[in-house]
Amino acid sequence: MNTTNWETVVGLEVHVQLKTKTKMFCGCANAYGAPPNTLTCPVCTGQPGALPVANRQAFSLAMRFGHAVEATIARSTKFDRKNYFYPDLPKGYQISQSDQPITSGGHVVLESGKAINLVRAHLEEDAGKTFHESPGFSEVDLNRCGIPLLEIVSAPDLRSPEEAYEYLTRLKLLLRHLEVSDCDMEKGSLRCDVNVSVRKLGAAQFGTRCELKNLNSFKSVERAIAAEALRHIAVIESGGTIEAETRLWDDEKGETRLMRKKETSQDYRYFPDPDLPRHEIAEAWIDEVRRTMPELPEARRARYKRDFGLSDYDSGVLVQDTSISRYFEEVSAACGDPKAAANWISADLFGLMNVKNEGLLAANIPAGRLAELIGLVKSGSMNVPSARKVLGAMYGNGRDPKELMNELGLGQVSDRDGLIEIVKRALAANPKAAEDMKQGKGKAAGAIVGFVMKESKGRANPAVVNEILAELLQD
Amino acid sequence: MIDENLVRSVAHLARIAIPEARVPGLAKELAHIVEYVDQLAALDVQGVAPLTHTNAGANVYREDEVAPSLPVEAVMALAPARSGNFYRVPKVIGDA
Repeated sequence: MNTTNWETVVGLEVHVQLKTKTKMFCGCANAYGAPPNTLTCPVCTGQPGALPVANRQAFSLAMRFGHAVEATIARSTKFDRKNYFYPDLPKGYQISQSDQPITSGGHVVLESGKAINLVRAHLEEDAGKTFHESPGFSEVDLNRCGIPLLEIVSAPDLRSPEEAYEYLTRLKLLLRHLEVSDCDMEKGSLRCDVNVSVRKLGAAQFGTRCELKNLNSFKSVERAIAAEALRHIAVIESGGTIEAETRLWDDEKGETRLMRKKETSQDYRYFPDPDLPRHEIAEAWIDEVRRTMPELPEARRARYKRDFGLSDYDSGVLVQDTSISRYFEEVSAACGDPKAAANWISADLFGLMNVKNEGLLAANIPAGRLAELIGLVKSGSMNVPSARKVLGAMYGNGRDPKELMNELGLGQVSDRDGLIEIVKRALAANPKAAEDMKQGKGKAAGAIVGFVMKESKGRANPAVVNEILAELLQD
Repeated sequence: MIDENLVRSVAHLARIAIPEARVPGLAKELAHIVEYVDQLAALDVQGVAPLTHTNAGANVYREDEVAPSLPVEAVMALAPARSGNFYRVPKVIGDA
């Protein structure tokens, strides 16, 4: 099949759970993993007469996102009822925003400089969770019901599976940085629906689009778009037509399958929710949110490169999360060496965290302790391999690195008298290398230093060894 | 236009079972109601902002502070059927 003349067109609808303490319209905790139906009240279970009241912080977070993507923030907005029946929605409607979203427009810029335009982002409430494992009936947990969501709708500006992947990655980075959402797909705090169509290169009109659901990772989004675009091209090239439909992605089979035709799609009968008065948003509030914005990841990354001389890789890794950036800046300030701090965090500490699949909190190494460890290396008290062992021993308990160094016998040996003996033995054991060095062949030093290191179990201070070596060879 | 198909579709959306024999009558009645309300269309509303709420207030917010939830036993006591601490409902697989 020839796909070169075809262009893939993608638009994404991303739902993120907002990082509030409480639900959108009631005081129940916004928490993941609580026992079923322990975080509900008359409002979020839709009891007759219960009245919803909007969470102020959810508005602030939505506005924070709006500022970050340079969207227009609504000065006047409202909530609407989106009516449908499903057991995870006890009221029979979802409170959402239909024609007056909290933010309109804005864009997310890709590495290439291409801007992906946003159509809108609106506030709404999450539904409960339904479980289908039991035979003959389904089970419903309403803890999630009412958790604030921001639905972020992109324009159909994405032109490949890779662009969609990058857009999602950048959106997630931004939202995490802003502390608007955790964006953890495994926990369902980020969910994504994809609209895909294809058209001949250069065509002005979009093709008929299909909506894809059941996408559980950014990788599956990328794969699903690629598979769906190929399906469209194959259908059209063989003389068929694509019908508007909703399709489910099967990650194992790597293909999409029909879920329902769009012509039977729902009629949600939106109308303004009479229980929730309008929101007239004061300029002062919008400004206050702007003033208290965290530094954006791209700006922070540029600053790390410019001020600290960090590499592309290190700066990228360290801005993944505000808590990581904060940690890096603390370690860096305490040890006075941003490059060393970046190396120890991005290579060594993250290495340990990855093995255990844990976060900074579980690693439990206070910034001051890591800075002390770096200091011990810089002062020559310990070499790098030994320091890595000490870091491993500090992991999870945050103990004093100096104490651990002494306990584990990993301190560097800088004691000249002891080292002279070892260097002498090394020269005696490697007469050829010793002769070469006398002749000024610097490379020969490797064998001698290697011997010393082996003898000292890696603890000899290389600077002192080189000094001794130079003196002995002069004699 | 309210016709018989619209009556069937609205009934379905509201999950109301309507005997087929009643559909023609309901279509007529609903059409009359809409016609009545349609008289409003004669008014000139140019320059009048849409009225979305009849309550005059605006800007009612709660602070983001956790309040106690209901005990699970109290909640489950209201459930028509339960399965452990889950609501038990007829098997539903599909989408919303």
